[in-house]
Amino acid sequence: MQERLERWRKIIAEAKPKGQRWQSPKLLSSVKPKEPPQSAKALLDKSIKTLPDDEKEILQLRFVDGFSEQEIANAIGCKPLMVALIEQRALERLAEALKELQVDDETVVSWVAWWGEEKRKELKALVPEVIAPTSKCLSISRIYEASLQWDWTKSERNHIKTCAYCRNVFNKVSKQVWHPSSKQLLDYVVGSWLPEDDMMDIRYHLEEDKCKRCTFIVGILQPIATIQRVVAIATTTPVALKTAGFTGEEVKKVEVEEGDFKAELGYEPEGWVARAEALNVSAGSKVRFAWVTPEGIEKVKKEAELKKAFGGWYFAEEKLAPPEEELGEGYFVAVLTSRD
Amino acid sequence: MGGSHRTRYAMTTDEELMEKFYECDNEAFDELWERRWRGRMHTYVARKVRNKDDAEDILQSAGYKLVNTKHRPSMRYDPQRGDFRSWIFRIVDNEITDYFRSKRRVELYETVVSDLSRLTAIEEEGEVPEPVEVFANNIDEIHLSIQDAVRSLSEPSRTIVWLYFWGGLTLEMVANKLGITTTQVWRRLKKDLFELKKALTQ
Repeated sequence: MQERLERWRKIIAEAKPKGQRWQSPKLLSSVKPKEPPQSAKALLDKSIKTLPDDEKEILQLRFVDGFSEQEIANAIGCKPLMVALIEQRALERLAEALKELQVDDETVVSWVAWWGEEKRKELKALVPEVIAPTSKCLSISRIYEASLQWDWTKSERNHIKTCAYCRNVFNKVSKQVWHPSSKQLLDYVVGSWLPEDDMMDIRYHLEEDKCKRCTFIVGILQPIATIQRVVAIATTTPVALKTAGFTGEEVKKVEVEEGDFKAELGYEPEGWVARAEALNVSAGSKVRFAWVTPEGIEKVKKEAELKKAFGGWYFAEEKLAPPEEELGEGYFVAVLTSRD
Repeated sequence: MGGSHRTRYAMTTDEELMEKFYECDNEAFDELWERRWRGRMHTYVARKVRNKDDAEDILQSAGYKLVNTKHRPSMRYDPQRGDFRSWIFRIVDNEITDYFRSKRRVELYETVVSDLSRLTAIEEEGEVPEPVEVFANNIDEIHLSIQDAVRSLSEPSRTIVWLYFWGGLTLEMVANKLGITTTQVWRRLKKDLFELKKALTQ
């Protein structure tokens, strides 16, 4: 390989253009957009469309998205010089394609800047910010934090109920907010080996974030973890069933699962019914369903034995409360225990 | 999400704001994401996905991912592992990638989302091609053809060839100038030689 490269070097080096030096491209700081004549618009657009992908992308990042060469370079992990080189090559190709119009390079650049502005306007029309945050909106960081600690102030609660933007963010965050799995919490509680990263995240989650949900689960696991096989799962945040809940929307049913253990709670004509199913558990395994207030009080709890259903699946069902009872806001928790 | 802290953070870098957020300053995060980056990323995301609801969703998810790094110390931004802007772009790009994947439009993901990463992508390992044959009786013509072929290359290939063969720079020096790795320069150079050979034998 080295020998071939040396032969290439000899051939190419000998062809070095006399008296020419490599010149760094100019960094384009700000370009004043200039509208091209009508006759040139279609050709400009077509020429940009036919550029190689890399060059087209750089022009779009620069002139449509409005990022600087430095910002693009940081984003892709290179120096601004490389971005400027690709940009310059793209402009060269455009100047070549527009040669018949007899315009200088500066005009080509100003036309490209105009093209970028037009594209940005098109995108804005396509993507109007329908629900934008207002100055009263809650930060996503606060929504995340409060989803763990459930320490909303009255005014925050009122705001979320009336603000579509914040409600949308809350619904998204509450579904995605990170909690360790029951298995991870179990390992943490009994001191089993956990990867260092997991250990660090769980410790932060419990000690710094003071997650109400996981603190409650740890409280369940701690006394029985060494004597029984136990899986404890819960909704990621407190929910309110049947009545207008935290976000003002009615939730009819909640489902939780981890691995082969699933549970649900729903409002039915006969009352609040909880169901669970688990795969390949030992005979006599039980499920404890609980409705736990955000303060950690078990408002309702019922235990049911898992019965064999089909294949390796076991099933349990229990009425948690009569239909007239208001459960209020709380976590739905299901705990599977078996002695295997 | 008020604007009173805007002037307070006027001189604070993105990295410092992230650090302050990790120290539980939520306003620092608002300044960083809501004021500095969210709006700037809006056009970028909209251009890729071309759907108003999806663009908003992607930005919300990206904001969530940034916040999530505070709550999972193992995933936090580490200045020693790269530039902040590169990190934030990667988070947004990953969200766009997930969007295309969830829409089962992988082919679009390949052509649209990976544009950025392709600029510095490392090609598969390959051989240096056998050089073109040069005959003594048409040497000037060959030299002109080589110059034309080099000029017609895309960037950064053209600059790599220029600096390495005509500028007397080593691969390491070229890599340093462009801010990419020596391996990336070497692999690109091998590809460029194929391009040159193609241009010269046409």
